[in-house]
Amino acid sequence: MVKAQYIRGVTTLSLDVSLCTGCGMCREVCPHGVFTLEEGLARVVLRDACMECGACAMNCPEGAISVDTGVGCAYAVIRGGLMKTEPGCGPGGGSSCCE
Amino acid sequence: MSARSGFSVAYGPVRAEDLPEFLAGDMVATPDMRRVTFGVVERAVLIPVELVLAGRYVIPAALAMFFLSGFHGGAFSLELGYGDGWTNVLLLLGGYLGGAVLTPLVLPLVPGRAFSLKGALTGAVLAALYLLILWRNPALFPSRLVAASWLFIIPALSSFLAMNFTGSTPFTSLSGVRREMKVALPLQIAFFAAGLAMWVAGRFF
Repeated sequence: MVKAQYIRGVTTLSLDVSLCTGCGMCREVCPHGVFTLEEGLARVVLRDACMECGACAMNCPEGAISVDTGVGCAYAVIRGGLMKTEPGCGPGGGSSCCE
Repeated sequence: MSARSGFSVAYGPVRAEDLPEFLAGDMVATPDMRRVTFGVVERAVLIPVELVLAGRYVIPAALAMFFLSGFHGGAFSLELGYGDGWTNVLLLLGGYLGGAVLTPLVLPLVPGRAFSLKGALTGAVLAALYLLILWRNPALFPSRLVAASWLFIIPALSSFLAMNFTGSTPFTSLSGVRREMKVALPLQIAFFAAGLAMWVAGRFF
């Protein structure tokens, strides 16, 4: 299968390595292999594969990862724009797939 | 998660079909099991969703098309509405199917990262095919302006619908969608409006 790729250089993902304890949770939960462990610490290796689902940030026990999560969906963005709410999939729907 | 719930957590495969292997293998998911994929079958099963979501707007639009097709040069004819209506509805369906069916199917093969660009390119190919038909059957399109209007309308529709497919994929991000919409939405509206203006001008004047 051709590896699906989306627009580069836009993700809001950030990792504060100084807080990382190297537990490897982020590498475990990321569905796109964005993280790896190098010399016992997490490192972002596939930044542009990030879809901002927020699984890493939710599962990082040290709070070393932050990302503005939301659904990558044009319809949701239009809907959010029209209803003056955060982009979401329906009434009362959360803005993240992993919450 | 384990801190909040008190349970220990085993992170399994993302696809249910990998579960037997996961359970047989000491509850350890291989990296492959933890990766989401988006192959042609996975894309194809989502197409009906797109068809239904957009269909809510396409059916009234097609009916309006039949009605509007009855007008020509300030007169209205039911016969014309039916005859020309079919041609126009088929073209409208071209934009609809281009964005909601064709683009998702051939997604990785179309150049570009932005879905709006992929949809516009697919739409442009369909519009080129339509030019070919037009060239062979000039009688189908009495007005050049009307014929040309579809070169704007089809790519605009296809681009918009393909952009909405971002919501169906497991790899598009909110930041990315916002970025592409900022550029694409004004262009889609401009192309659609230009095409519509040409279509109306060609039929009524």
